[in-house]
Amino acid sequence: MSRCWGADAILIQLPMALVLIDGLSGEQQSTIARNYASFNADADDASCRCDVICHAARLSQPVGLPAERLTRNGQYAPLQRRTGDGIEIIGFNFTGSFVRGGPAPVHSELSVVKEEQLAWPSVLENFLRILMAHLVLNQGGVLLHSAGVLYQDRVYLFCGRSNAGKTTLARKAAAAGARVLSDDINLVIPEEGGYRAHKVPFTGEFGRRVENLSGCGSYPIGGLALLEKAPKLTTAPLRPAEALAGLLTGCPFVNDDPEEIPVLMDILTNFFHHRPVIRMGVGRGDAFETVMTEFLRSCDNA
Amino acid sequence: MPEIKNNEKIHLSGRVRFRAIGDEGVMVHLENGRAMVVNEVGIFIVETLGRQDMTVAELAEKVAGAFEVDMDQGRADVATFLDQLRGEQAIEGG
Repeated sequence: MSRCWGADAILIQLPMALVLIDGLSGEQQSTIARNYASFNADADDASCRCDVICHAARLSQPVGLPAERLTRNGQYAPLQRRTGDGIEIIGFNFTGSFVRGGPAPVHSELSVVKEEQLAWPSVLENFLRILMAHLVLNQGGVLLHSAGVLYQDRVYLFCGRSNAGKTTLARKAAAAGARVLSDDINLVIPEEGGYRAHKVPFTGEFGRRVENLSGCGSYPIGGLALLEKAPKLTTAPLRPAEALAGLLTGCPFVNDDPEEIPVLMDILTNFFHHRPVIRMGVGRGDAFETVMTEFLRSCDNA
Repeated sequence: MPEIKNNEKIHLSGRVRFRAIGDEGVMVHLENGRAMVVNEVGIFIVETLGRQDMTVAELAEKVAGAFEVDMDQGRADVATFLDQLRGEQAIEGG
């Protein structure tokens, strides 16, 4: 049996979703408010419309799963399991669940054993990532493992797994004066006949150290590159199947869900029919301006 | 996965999803979210195995007919691709 931690609550304005977390202790509430300062919403908004209601709860005992059950491709990956009406999540220090497919608001629960665990990025952030990855599909969008860099009023996304060079590129961009949405994950949403990238509070290594864009900023997407490390700067066009395979690999939490895959494939196919997707190899010594010049040139030819 | 015998029926793993796109296809394994590009013969084989279980010989005959190649070439194409699928744990025998 689980039960709430207290009577406090907080509203977080994620892109495309207003999330109410209730059942919090005062300490949990203030920590979350501090960690998500740029995404806090006014309490008055609660009376309008919440897209997600998350009940914070106590777990009676630790999750106790061995690390190998929570690892995929060498990376930490909370387990997801379909239930009758939704999805259950099990992480190192938490369990979560949310209803999938019902009317708004989406009801969810996040449970931890110790009070302080709830606000840990490895708990709350992972839970919100998974929740958003599923919910955004309803709006034709995807959560994409990528570095997002603002350049000449458009966002260019560099999509790749861990160690593809996303954080290195984000650091180069910031050092060159460019704004960085995230070096790890960005939200891509179709809007106004095009696509926009939204900043999400899932910051990766770069964002934890550097204050970059604040709030729920969104920008039109100029193009997307499947990023890989290379001895020197290279670009190459992609065939549709290559683009789809590369983008699928970059969609965490939903690319192994048999019920989400068909929709995910539709969304990604639609994306690369509207925006250029290229392959790009970037060397350690390649300057940001050089990378972007080559990116833009390739986008024009794509 | 052990070698599949010629007369053994094989089928696509329930943990695989695929889609044809252009002249190629994309196959996703749900165990790891890994997506791979397959050529037109590959997507034909995956689609065929997705519809019904088949022996290697039956599959080779289908490939030979669809791509207008002789049976030797059909068998070779099937063997090459099934090796790949076996490596990805995307097919099951029996």
